[in-house]
Amino acid sequence: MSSNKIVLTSSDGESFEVEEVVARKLQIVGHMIEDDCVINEIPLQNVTGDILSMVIEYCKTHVDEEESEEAQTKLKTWDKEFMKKFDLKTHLKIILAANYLNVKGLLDLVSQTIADNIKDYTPEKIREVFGVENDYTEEEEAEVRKENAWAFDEADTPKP
Amino acid sequence: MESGLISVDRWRKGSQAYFLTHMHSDHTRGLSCGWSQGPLYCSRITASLFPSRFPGFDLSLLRVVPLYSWTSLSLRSPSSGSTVVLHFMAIDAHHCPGSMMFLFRGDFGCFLYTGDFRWDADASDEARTILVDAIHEFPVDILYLDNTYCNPIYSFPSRQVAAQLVADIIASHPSHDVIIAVDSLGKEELLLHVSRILNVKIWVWPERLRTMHLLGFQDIFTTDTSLTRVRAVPRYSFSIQTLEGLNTMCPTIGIMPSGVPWVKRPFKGDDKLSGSFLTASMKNETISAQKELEAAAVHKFHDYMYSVHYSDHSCYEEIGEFIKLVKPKSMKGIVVSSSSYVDPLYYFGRICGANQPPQVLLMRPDIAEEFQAVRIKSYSATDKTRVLEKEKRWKRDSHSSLKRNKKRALMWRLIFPQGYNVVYVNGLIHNPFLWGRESYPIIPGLTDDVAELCVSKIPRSSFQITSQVCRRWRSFLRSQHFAAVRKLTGTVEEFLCVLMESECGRDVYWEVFDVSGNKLGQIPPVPGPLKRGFGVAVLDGGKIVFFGGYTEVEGSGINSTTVSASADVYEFDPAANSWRKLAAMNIPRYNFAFTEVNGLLYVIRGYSTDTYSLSNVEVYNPDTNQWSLMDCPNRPVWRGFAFAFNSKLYAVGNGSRFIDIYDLKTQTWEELDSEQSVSVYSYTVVRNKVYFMDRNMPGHLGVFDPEENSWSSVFVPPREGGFWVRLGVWNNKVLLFSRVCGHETLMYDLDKAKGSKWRVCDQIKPSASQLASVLINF
Repeated sequence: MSSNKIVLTSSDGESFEVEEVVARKLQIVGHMIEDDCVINEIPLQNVTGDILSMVIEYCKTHVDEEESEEAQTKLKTWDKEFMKKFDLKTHLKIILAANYLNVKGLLDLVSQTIADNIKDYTPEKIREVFGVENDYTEEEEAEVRKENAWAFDEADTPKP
Repeated sequence: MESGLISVDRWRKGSQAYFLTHMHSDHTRGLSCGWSQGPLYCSRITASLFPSRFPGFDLSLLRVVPLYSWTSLSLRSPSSGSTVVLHFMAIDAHHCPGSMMFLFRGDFGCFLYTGDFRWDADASDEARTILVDAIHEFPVDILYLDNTYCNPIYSFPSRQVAAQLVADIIASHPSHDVIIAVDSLGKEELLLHVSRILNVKIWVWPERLRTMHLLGFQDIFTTDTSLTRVRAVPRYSFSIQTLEGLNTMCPTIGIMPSGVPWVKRPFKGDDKLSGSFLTASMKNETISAQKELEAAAVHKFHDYMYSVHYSDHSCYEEIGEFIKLVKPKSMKGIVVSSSSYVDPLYYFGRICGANQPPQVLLMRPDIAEEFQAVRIKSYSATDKTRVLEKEKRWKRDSHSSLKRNKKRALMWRLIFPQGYNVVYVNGLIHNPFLWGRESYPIIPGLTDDVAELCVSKIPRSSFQITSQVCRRWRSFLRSQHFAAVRKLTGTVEEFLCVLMESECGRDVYWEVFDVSGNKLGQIPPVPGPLKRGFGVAVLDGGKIVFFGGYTEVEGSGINSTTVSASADVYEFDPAANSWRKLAAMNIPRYNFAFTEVNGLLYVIRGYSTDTYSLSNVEVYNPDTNQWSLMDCPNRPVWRGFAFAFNSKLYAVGNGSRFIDIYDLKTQTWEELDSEQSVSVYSYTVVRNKVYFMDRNMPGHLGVFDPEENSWSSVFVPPREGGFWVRLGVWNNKVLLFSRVCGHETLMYDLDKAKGSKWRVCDQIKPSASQLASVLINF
């Protein structure tokens, strides 16, 4: 693998010089490199510098994905700690960046983290944390509370 | 009819009943999530689109109207206060999925409101017959007509012909990528035709995929750009600029299916095309002109762009034919903003014998009009060197399909810069998720595709909680689209589904448990009467198949019953949470052995209605939904069990020491002397070993290892409820369900050390007696 350096520039003008192998973890950049459309500097329009630095940190750590169980466990622990460093607001920004830059591992990691949080929350807490508005009437909410997790009731298919 | 009674495709206050012909945005203008003016009558398909188009819409307002039958409504006259009885019937409009015309009658007369419709000869046989019968009895006073193309310049072939033209264009560009412009609903038949003829999947944007799932198209459409070269894109993102952008990366052609000659000015230096179109359409009265018409139905007015006259609206001729059929006393055009609006009376007034003076109404083009959304910017001549350069690049790249796929992914990221859900419209970024629907996001701050990814990873046991968040969350969690997202992202959970019976067949139901033992609810009962001696298997990892069995039928003598075997097969799809009937077996049978091997279901031997023992095997292929028969060694055995091992089918019959083994590769049977004969009444397979209960070995759990061809058994700890148990598997552990209600389930844990393998399973507590259990991934 060549040790070419590539400069990634965020939307707010911050530049990061990274090894090509790291930059390739951002699939959007990887494709550009393969497409020979990369000179040395790649402007990334939809990411700010602070978020891009986090994405790069993730990519650096995941640059050698070793098969061994030990290495995998180590990475998993690192992932967990890495996620713990940020609050939900940042998680949301990272996941949008991961989606745009197409970093699959990070996309999976953040979405799983968000899902894990949601699963332990009460409905009120979920609404509060994500800023979702409750549009149920009181009666509806009582109805929904009675539904079980598996069965879909007939409410979705209106009857004549 | 006086006002204040009903409204069709109009949503203002003041009517007592509202009718929606179909779910296109130009017919739902004024409808919103919070709309609640009165009952809304529409087709079943239209109703099913409401939760996604208008999240939070009060679904109790919807009234599903069946096709081709009269319904009556009692309304109150706003002026006199007296009762007005309205009868109405829906007729298939063949415009887009769920589109209907409405025929209204009452003391006020008879009105036919077509909504948007296509009256192609091949699509409307049933509609034609019903309509003719109805208007024979109730002549139409006023016809409200879809006059979109009510002008002789609009002449185009049937949709079948046009779809083939589209397939031909694509086939003649084997190494090009293709984009086809479509709306949020409609033209599904075209895409299906292309998919079928060219054997390709078709990319659609995520919102559209959701619609496809709601319409029941599961496998043909994808949002994965690497799977196909053919993509259906929103009309508004279809432009010369988009195509030029795409062509800087990969040779791409665009196809616009539309009835409108949507470029008024001919493309520079190529005025022949438009010219020939107009001449051809003007003289198309004769059949010999059909060929010319087909040729004229395709325009190439740019290197990359084709327009094909595939239309979901009726052409001029069809409109004429329709009016001749209906013979209305008068008529009105419902489209008043079309760029070439013509009062239908101008051309067809003579058919009505109308006394209204014919008039031509030329309206100003409305920029909001659906088909005006596509704008073609003037095109400058291509620089020759640029073309050469591009060609060189394409040639260089074409050798590697892998690279090509990656390129394709990149291409979409550049054209849709914020992931696949954002597109350029006239240089502005538009999010299709926000387009055409008044909606709020699943998670504020996230695009819906990313939010869906997060929500799809929540375990099902939390759904009861998460459904309470808001209407949008609940409808997403319960949608087929959600199931599809989960499948796509590989977020599947394993569920234990236990078929249970209370008090000897009084109540039969399925209970569902997740891996942690949470009881999640029930699966609807299998259709039909309760059967015995049936088979239950899982196909495709996630669908439960229920097949065969018998019911007892009262005989003629006193206390005599006869057995009636069944060939019926039902499949449960957890994504739809419903059962559907599959192809029946060739021979009704019960008390057979069965197993799934390499995706096919084998049903072995068994008995038929005349209690005659069968010596053949039925094989079900879920891909073709077909059963085939094959012979098997004739052995006087009953029931027994079967399992798959090393891609071979093992059939162990009760009462025989020989195991029949069918090798799928060589398609031959061989027999194995197991030196032991069994009388198995329940069994399960865990990690390639068979665990079974044998009538002749009470108090023991039998184990058969096919690899070693060895038999063994372990002692089952005695407990309340006796030894009469049925087996199941859960988390790689053998479960022993008590056949007596209310007794606990015993668990045999293969991973535990000797001496501590047995324990009571606290988590799985079925509420009745277990008949069968399966594991599904969903």
